[in-house]
Amino acid sequence: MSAAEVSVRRRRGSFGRLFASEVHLVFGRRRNQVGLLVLFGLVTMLGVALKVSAMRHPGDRGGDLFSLVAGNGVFLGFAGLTIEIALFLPLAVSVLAGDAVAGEANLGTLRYLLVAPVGRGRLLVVKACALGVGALTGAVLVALAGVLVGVLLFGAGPLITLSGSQIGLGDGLLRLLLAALYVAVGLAALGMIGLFISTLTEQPIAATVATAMVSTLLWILDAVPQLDWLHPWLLVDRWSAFIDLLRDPVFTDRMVTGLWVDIAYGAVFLFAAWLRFRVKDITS
Amino acid sequence: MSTGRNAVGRRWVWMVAAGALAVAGFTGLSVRSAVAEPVLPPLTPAELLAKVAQAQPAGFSATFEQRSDLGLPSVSGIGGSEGDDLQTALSMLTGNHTIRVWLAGPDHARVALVDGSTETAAIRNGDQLWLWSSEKQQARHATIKAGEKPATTPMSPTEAVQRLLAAVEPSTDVTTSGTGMVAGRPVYQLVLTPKDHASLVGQVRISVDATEFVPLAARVVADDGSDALSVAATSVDFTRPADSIFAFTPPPGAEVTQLKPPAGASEHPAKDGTKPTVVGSGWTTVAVTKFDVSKADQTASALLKSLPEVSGSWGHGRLLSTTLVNAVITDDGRVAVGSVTPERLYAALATR
Repeated sequence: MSAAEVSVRRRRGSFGRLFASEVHLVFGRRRNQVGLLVLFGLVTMLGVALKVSAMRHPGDRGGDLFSLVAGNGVFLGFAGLTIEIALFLPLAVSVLAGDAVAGEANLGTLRYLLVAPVGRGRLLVVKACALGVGALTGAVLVALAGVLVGVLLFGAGPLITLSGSQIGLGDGLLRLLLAALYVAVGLAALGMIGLFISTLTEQPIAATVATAMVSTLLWILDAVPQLDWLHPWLLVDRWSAFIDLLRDPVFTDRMVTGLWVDIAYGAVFLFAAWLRFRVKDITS
Repeated sequence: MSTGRNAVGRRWVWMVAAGALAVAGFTGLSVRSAVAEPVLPPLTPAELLAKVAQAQPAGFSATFEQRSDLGLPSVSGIGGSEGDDLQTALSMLTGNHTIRVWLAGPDHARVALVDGSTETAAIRNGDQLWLWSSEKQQARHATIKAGEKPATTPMSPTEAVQRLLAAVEPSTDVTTSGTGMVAGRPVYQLVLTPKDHASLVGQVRISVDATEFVPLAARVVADDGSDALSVAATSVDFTRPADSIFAFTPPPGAEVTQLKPPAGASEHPAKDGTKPTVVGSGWTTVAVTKFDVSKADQTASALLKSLPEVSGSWGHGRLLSTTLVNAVITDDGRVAVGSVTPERLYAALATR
């Protein structure tokens, strides 16, 4: 074994350890655990509200996503993603992003991290990966909560697609998983914006608020019809396109473009965060 | 913290740098679609049209983007409840829409409007015609007799262009103008220009696929040079779609209704016995019809009151002006509509 190989292995090992410790840290924070509980609770609330309304007005069935839940609990997963994608999931990612760099700087732990023989670039990549894991956890948890609560309240069975055809339960669950993954990629891209903002300040709350504001601002811009020329360039514009998974055959065009937009935003802001973090003065 | 004024200033530099990078990245992305004009053997309009007429694609599946910029206000909330047929028709005139199309031979077609989290579709499978609305969970069914074509069947683009050209030949300059790319495929550009300059339509540009000779895009350019209406394929695949695409079975729980034969479709114009008078021909046709303002509902009359007032020797009324269509609603209960300047409408109203 040559010296180079040993060093590569060691580097990989150190990356893994750092990543594991970062993920452990993210999931260990009490506020993050409470945040996950809130995401779960919202889906439960939505499920109960729909159940109550379905019991009051039986047979009153529209065709929107929320009415479809009454016929099949699995739709609650999609409905949950739909209501949480605008505010709560971005907020959760903003909290994680605020903690990522600004939080450590604020606590004074960032300089200890940098004392360890780890390059700043690699530390940032570890932080970015942990944000990705956080985004994935949030999206999958919402989908999972939807299935659990939905099936408990409404039962399961074949799903009716938006195109009017029926697909099996397994196929439906697979599509829900894909929807959660798609949402997670978008959230991770927002996480990269947050990571960049996090390198600009030493106040985690400022970074969190700024990131949440960016996402909210993007949603507002996306809702103004006069700005429709701008919409394709907005990060959040195609986030709701996961609903296209409920068409038969699945409509991928919007999601593919959406993924490219996510990746472009993610790459640009991760790079910007690296440019900034590389030369950042760690003053506290 | 020892961050002075300098550090704050530097932060903004980083923000600006990130913004510039983002713009550069997106420009890079959009350059992908801007490809130079492909070199194709030149074709005269007649040759191109003949090829379009002969085109017999085995089938294709495509996605179209439709954009409208007619200068109309957003019509959501006008014209009945959400999911209404009229509402669907009106909403097609504003904003952007995505349409999926599958075609296999003359009697297998499926067209689906896939906006937001709803789907409105028309599916033709041999002699079976289904209209589906996911919003209302409603399926409407009709049986088509052999050789008969109902008005509701989605027209193939080939047919649409043929019909259009037959109608406009006497009043229109038809030319081919260069080539282009639509949905990653080289296309010929067919340009129709109205001969009468009073028309609000500046040009109609149709992009025809250079190998399959199927129209892939159409643009209506208003006389001020803006795109008023456009439909363009964003992706297209010339392999015959699977038969299962055209099979439709109403899902359990959906409301299924049988449609009456197409004869019932003409009930709307005949309802109050008014037949429009037609003045002029071709691109500058003006239709004059009766319209009782007092019967209009509250929303419509409020909308009417917000329109600018116009008057002349023909009387007094209000002008609804869009990039492609003008309409005058007179106080004595007449409406003149046409894709012409308001002056032509006044002239048509004056002729009675």
